[in-house]
Amino acid sequence: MKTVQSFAVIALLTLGLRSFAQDQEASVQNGHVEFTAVGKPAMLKIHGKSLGPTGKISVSKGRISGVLKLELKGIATGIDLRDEHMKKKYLQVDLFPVAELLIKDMDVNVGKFSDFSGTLKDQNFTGDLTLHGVRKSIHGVYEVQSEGSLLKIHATYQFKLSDFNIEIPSYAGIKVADSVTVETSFEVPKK
Amino acid sequence: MRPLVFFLMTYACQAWAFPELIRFQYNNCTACHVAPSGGGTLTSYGRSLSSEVLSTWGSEKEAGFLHGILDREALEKWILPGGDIRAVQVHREDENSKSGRFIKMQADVSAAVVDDRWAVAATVGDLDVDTWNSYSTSYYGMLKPYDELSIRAGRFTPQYGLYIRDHIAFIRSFLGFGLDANRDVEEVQWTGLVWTTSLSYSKQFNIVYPESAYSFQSQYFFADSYKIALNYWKGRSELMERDVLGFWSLFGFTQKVFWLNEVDWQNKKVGDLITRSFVTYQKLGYTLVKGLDLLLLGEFQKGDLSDASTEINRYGLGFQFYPRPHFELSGAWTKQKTLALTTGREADYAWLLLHYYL
Repeated sequence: MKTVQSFAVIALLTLGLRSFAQDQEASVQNGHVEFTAVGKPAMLKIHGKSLGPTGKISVSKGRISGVLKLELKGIATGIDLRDEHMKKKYLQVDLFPVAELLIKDMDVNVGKFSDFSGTLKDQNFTGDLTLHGVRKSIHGVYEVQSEGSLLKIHATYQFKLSDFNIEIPSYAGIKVADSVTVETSFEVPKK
Repeated sequence: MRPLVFFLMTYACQAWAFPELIRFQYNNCTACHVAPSGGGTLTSYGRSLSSEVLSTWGSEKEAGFLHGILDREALEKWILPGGDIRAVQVHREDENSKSGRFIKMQADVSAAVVDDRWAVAATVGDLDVDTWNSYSTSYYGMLKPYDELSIRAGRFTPQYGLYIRDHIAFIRSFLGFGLDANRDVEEVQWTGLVWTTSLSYSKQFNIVYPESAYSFQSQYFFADSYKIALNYWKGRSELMERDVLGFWSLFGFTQKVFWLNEVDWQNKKVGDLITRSFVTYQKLGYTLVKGLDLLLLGEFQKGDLSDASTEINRYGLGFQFYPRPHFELSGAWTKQKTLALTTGREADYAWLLLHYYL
């Protein structure tokens, strides 16, 4: 019986080690974030951009997970006054300088980044977004593309400002719609 | 002297829109103007933008009506007032003569009352201070069942082509959208984030043979600061019928570099005679410093495609300067070649415009 138990333990450990050996962690690079909001009633498209995010993601059991962080003070919409209002009054970046996206389950069906080839499109993922001091689940769509020594990942998701206790921005008769669309793209070295 | 008179007559304008703001991602006129087509009474946001992105100096408060001496927030909650005073100094010279004239072009007041689902607006004034006329007077009522949908009726300029303030431009004056552009109009517009489309029916007033017209315009906005559009105009009066097909575009390459372009073809039938015409307009701008744009201007008109002598070419350099909210100084020096003229075929035209809005 002891032999059986020992075998089982060794087998589990071996499997575990094998699984661990398949895990891979990497820092994201060349990150880029864009968001789109709509100003009503003028149907004004407000398009913000920022470099980032930074962070690390890992692949384990065929799934990508990790934490990405974005310094909110780097967001720019092309108009200084609007940026100032957005950061100071609404996002309150002095109090909440960073937005954090916890990626839970981007399915890539490989054990290592280096094993991925080709392109995956229109895949669903879930995550937790922490913004303005509030953490909420989000759902999004992602795409992974292998290009040379890099994996290029592009994710899109929406959130509601009201879910994160952010006052709906309003200025001189233009009111921003509650829903905001975010697109983030970054690269991961395969090795 | 006749060319100068023509120049002066076609210069005057009452509309006031800034399509070059496309370079700041302003895809629709309604951010800054009450009218869906742009021009006329400014919204509160439009006034703020005049100091934020348009003027070299100035403050948000200063951009308000009468320079913000009234409580802007309280005032703009129930009425959006405005008004324009405009004058121009023009100059023409050719190998034989020089002439110039200072013209008091426009003095009017305007006001709009705007609610979430409706608006009424009116402008009363004079376009030629010497003789009262009703060209400057415009008014309309507008319903907005949805944010995107507007239904408007009244007396205003129907939508066709670039709504630019250069009403001397061939695309405005030759096509009949210059000085007397205001008509009795019924208009439906869908204003979207990507597509904006309008349909209108309009009729001229105060003339013996008024033109009635249906017009269509569809605009497509892409890549944050680019817009292309297609227009069609079908007009008819007791004297003529015409079809005008046009294409225009606004390209904001960067926040400093922009390009406005329009081309139009017109088929006009008077009796059994059909005349096909072509006009185009180009304006390339570079923002030297905030509030000061340098311009490269180019225009071409061929009144009859079968007759080379109907060609007019105009090209030159210009500038527009917005030192503070409420003030504009703009000007251009252009060379014009008019093949139909026997004398003064090649002439220089220059103008310096002063504009102040309340």
